[in-house]
Amino acid sequence: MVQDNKLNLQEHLLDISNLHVQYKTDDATVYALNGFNLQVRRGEKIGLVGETGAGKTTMALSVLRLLPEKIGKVTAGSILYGNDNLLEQNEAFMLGLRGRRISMIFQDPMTSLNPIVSVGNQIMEVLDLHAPQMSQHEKNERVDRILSMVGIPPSRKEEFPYQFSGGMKQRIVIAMALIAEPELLLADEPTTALDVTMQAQILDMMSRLKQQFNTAVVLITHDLGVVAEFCDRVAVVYAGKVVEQGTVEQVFARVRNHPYTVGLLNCIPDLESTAARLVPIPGQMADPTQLPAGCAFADRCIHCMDICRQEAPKMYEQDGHCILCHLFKERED
Amino acid sequence: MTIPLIETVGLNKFFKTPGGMLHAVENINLKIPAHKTLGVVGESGCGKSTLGRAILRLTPVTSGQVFFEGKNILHYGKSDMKQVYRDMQMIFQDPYSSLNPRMTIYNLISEPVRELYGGSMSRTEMADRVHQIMELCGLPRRYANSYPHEMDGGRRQRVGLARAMVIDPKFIICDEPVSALDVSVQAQILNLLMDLQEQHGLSYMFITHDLCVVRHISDDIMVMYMGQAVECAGKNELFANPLHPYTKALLSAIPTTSLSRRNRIRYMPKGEVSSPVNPAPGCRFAPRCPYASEKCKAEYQLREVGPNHYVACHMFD
Amino acid sequence: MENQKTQCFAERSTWQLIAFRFSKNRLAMVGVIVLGLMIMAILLAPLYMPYDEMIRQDVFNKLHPPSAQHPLGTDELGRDLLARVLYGGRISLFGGMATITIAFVAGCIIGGTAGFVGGKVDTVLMRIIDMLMAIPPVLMAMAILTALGNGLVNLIISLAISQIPRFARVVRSSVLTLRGMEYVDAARCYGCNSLKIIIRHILPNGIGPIVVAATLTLGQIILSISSMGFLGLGVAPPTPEWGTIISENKLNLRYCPYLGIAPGICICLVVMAVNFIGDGLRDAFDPKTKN
Repeated sequence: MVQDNKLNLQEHLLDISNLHVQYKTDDATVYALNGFNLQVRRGEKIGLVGETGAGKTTMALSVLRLLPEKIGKVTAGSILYGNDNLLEQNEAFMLGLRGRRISMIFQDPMTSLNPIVSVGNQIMEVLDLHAPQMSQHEKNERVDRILSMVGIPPSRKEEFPYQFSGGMKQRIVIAMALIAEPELLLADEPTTALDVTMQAQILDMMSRLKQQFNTAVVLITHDLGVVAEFCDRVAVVYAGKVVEQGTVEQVFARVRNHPYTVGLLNCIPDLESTAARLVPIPGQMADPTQLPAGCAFADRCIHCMDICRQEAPKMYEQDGHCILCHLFKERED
Repeated sequence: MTIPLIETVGLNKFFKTPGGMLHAVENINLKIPAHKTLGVVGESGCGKSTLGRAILRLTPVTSGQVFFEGKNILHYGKSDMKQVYRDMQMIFQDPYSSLNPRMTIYNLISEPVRELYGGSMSRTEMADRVHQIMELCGLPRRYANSYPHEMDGGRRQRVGLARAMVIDPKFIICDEPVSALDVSVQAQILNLLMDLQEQHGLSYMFITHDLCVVRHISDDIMVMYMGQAVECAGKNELFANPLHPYTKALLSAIPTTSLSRRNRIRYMPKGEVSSPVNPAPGCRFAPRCPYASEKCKAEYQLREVGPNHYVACHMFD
Repeated sequence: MENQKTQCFAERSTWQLIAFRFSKNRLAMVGVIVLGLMIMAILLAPLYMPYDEMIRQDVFNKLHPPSAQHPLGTDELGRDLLARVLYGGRISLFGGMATITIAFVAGCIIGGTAGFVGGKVDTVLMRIIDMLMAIPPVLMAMAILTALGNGLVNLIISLAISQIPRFARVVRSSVLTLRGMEYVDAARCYGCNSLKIIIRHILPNGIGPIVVAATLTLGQIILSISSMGFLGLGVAPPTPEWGTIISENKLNLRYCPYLGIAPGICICLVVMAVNFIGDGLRDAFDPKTKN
């Protein structure tokens, strides 16, 4: 299905570099993304973790160019998709991209589905838009196939969203996102509203589908456990920046981490540890309307040094494991 | 034997729906001793919140009994209930809808005192009490005149906790108090809850869907599935030796950051949750259970299989 | 300074804070002053404007433009327009406000009960309200007035009843949404009875749209009083009333526009003043609005 398969498989499918996004309101300017860098390779599963307001969803909306009009604005940086800088493309190009080559799944399955259109027709609509040359019979077959792949009997496609449970609705949303066999799937908290057993089923299913279509998945979540189990690589986001990036093994081995990642890992009660108390990260999330000059995490960091407040840290890299912190500066050479 | 602080006997709560009776809570027998925490876990719609609301009499009970310090409170009139509410409080899941947006933090926290202790407190005593409790819950005094919308989720949840703590209760029902919060804030609130328990000898009933959290904070854990208690045990026992197939499925589904657990065996319950309206007698999990027999569909009973370990499964008869 | 402010604030109850915020709203205070001045002028009219002046006909001076003797001119029967507007205000202003108050209170009670109690009470009350809503308000007011007999008090009652269904509907829907809020449950947990829950937790949160609806309805009520009068119900000529003054002079408006302007401005001012007050009240209830 992919027409322009000229792209090298080793090449990055999506390359976001130095992206700055601001939201302007009457009262203040919110600095949502501040030099956000992320590379997504073909067919990989990358997890984007961070707390509320870290800029995870803003990044997804920037890629799709769906930032709220007049409020949200990209002020610097580039988003390369293949060889195209998405920030320079016109709306017609983006329309062909959204849903066809890049799909997005939103957190709440209840609001992503139209309540008065049968689920079969809603999935069909995606094909009508992106593959108009396909015959009706062929489209029907595709819909049936994708529904059975997500574990919903195709016989139920005439039913309406209210007749399905929350987990099934989310699977329908995933079916809609994958029917056009996109190259990239942006999943924004796809399982947060679901129960753990349902979450496990959905994640398993997404893994299988991903293998089938070789779709790259960016999983946006606040749940480190989900990332550790589902993804190949992890990017930890804080105050609009990726502060740590690496494979799941590198990050969760807990050998060398950004202090923020350490903090996150310490705050979640673990199934194996028997610690009586959790260790919360001190202080509050950095105020996105007035970010400090140096490292945004400095105020909450137990290793904070003088340089952290003056200078933004540079990327420290070892075997593809990147950490944005002054602590690791000396070991660079 | 000492009397437990809270005890329910055969507690049932059914809702009338057009399709028939919805069994939200069915035949729940639980005991919470003083200074202990009972964790109630289950997936959405399993009746755990209804159970909490039924114990506090926020929703009328269909049948059964609720004992507070040995006395059945279901027959209590309004004035007797006021006495009970001096010892029983609740904190809620949603830090956005659990605080009246039109009231200042000071008025929110002081209202329970005004309601339950009437005019027995002077204005200065009241102000002292509110400021003391705010400090206890980690709220700077300058927030007294703020409104809920001016605070973030974690602080709001602290206000909810302060409102429950201000009358110095013995028992607090926590209905998913940390589910809406970010992990770093969640840790702060959990620590605060545990500190308060230690200092004030509180008992909690901690309702949540998060097994990691429940293991962290509870002494005993009750697992619910569609209104029934399927397993109840001490936390270490439950996590080390889960017996009910549903408990096993639930435990294996928890995503974890420890790499060693990455390739564990998962027990996936098959199929979808069936309807709780007019359910068949017997174990609710039977239609999804790989080990279900005819007996499971006919009869449900929670039996003691070990010291302080109860399971409702016919495999362990 | 900061601390002092904190201290004095902490002593205030929710309702005191609402009053404080209201007093800080400039537009609302303008409304209060305008309305207050009009009420004073109308109430104190007998002191400076004899009642006779209003009904005394003077055919030699009919349709006289504004002058020192008749500041607003005279109508086609030579009656002083200022006097008629002043005395007419008694019926228009106080009648209108009384109507709104009755409709507002009754609507709050009926809608609040239906929404808060729910179940069968809700069904019965709302079906009755639905039946009343099916009848056009003026027609219903006419029917009630005919049944009760003519008179100012009966007019107010009948107009109020015709407005109750609207208020009851608005109140019920806002009570229904607010009843499910967790802070209502929390209030039950510390022993608040239903009345206190309604007054402290539901009313302050739901009052905004209701107050705005009430203030906007006032203008309509004042005109309704006059259309009823036009139909010979309620207030009969020669008793003046703003709406009547406009309608009885409508033939002469073309050449003597001042006859319509004065009572028209009065209606306008009252509606605007009340509307400002209503907006101010709504904002005062909501701590999110900054002054």
